[in-house]
Amino acid sequence: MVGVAYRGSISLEDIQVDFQVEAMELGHTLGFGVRERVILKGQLSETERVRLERAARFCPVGQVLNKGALAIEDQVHWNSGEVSRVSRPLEQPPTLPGTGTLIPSGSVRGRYLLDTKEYDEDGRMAHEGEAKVYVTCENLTRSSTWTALAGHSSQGFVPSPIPLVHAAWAASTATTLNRLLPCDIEAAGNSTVELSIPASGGRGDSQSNAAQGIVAPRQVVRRVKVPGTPETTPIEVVQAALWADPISAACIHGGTLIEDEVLVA
Amino acid sequence: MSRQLQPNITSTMINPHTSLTVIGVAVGQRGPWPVVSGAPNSTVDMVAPPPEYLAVAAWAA
Repeated sequence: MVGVAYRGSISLEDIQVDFQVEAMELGHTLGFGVRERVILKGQLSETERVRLERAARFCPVGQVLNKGALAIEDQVHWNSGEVSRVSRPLEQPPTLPGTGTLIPSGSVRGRYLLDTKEYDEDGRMAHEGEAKVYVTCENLTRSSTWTALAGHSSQGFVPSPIPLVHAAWAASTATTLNRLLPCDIEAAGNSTVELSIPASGGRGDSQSNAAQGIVAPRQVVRRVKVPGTPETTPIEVVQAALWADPISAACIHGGTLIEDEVLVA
Repeated sequence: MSRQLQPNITSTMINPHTSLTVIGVAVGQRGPWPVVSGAPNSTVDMVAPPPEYLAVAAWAA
C-alpha cells in the first residue's frame, strides 16, 4: 500500500495492519480465516481512502490467500523414481486419518518501519521498505509470540511478501504430507516440497493491479517428493493430502477474508 | 513450463513438528532466506509459528 500511495501521490504517513486468525472450513478442508483491520495515518481525502482500501483488498498476497490467484501444476515424485503430474483435483478425495487438525487462534500485527524506505538520487522512492510483523498464537503449554521481517529493500535483507507467502505454502504442504501420508522416515525418507515460480511483472505491475482492483493469477509448479512407490503411496492418497492442506485450500478456493475494515487515524 | 523452471523454494521436515523452508535456493536468486515453521500438535510446544501464520505475516507485510 505504501507503493500504491506513493504512485498515487497520496500523503500516507504511516500504516499498520492487524489480523485475527481463526480456524474455518475452507473448501472441503479445515482451513483458516482472518479478520483484517488496516489503520492509515495521514490527511487523506475520501477518494484516496477508497483507493487505498481497494489496494488493501487486492494486494498480491491477499490475492493468493483470499482470491485463489494461483494456477498450480502439481508433480509427484516417489522415492522409487516414478513421476506423475496432477492437473485436476479429485472430485471426491478420500478422507485421510489425521485430516482436520485445528489451527490455533491468534493474531498477526504488522508495523511499517518508516525509516527503511529508500529513495534514488533523484528523490524518487526506489524501495518501499520493510515491515516488522508480530505473530502470536496459542501453543501447547502457553501463548507464544514470534517476530518476522519482510518487505522490499535494495540489499535484500529480508524476503518480499510474495516469496514469503509461497514459502508458507511450501511449509504447509510439507507439514500436511508428513502428517497424512503413511511414512516410515527411517526406511523411506520424508516428504519434501519444491516450488518453481516464474518471474512476474514485478512490484510495479503488482501495485498497479492492486490499485485498479485487478486479480492477476500467478503460475506455480509444485513438486512434492513422497516416500515409497506408487503402490505403497498411491497417487489418490497424495492428491487427497494435497487437497486437505489448509494453505493449498486457500490458494485454490480463496475466501480466507472473513471481514475487513480500513480506518483513517 | 515446468521443464524450464528451477526451484525457487524448498521445504522439508526437520523433525515431526518442525519444517525448514528456504527461499531463493538457486544460485543467482535473491536470498537464501531460511524460514522455520511449527505444526500444532499434542506433544511439544511449537518452536516457530505455524505456516498459516507465516502466510498471514506475509499478508501483513
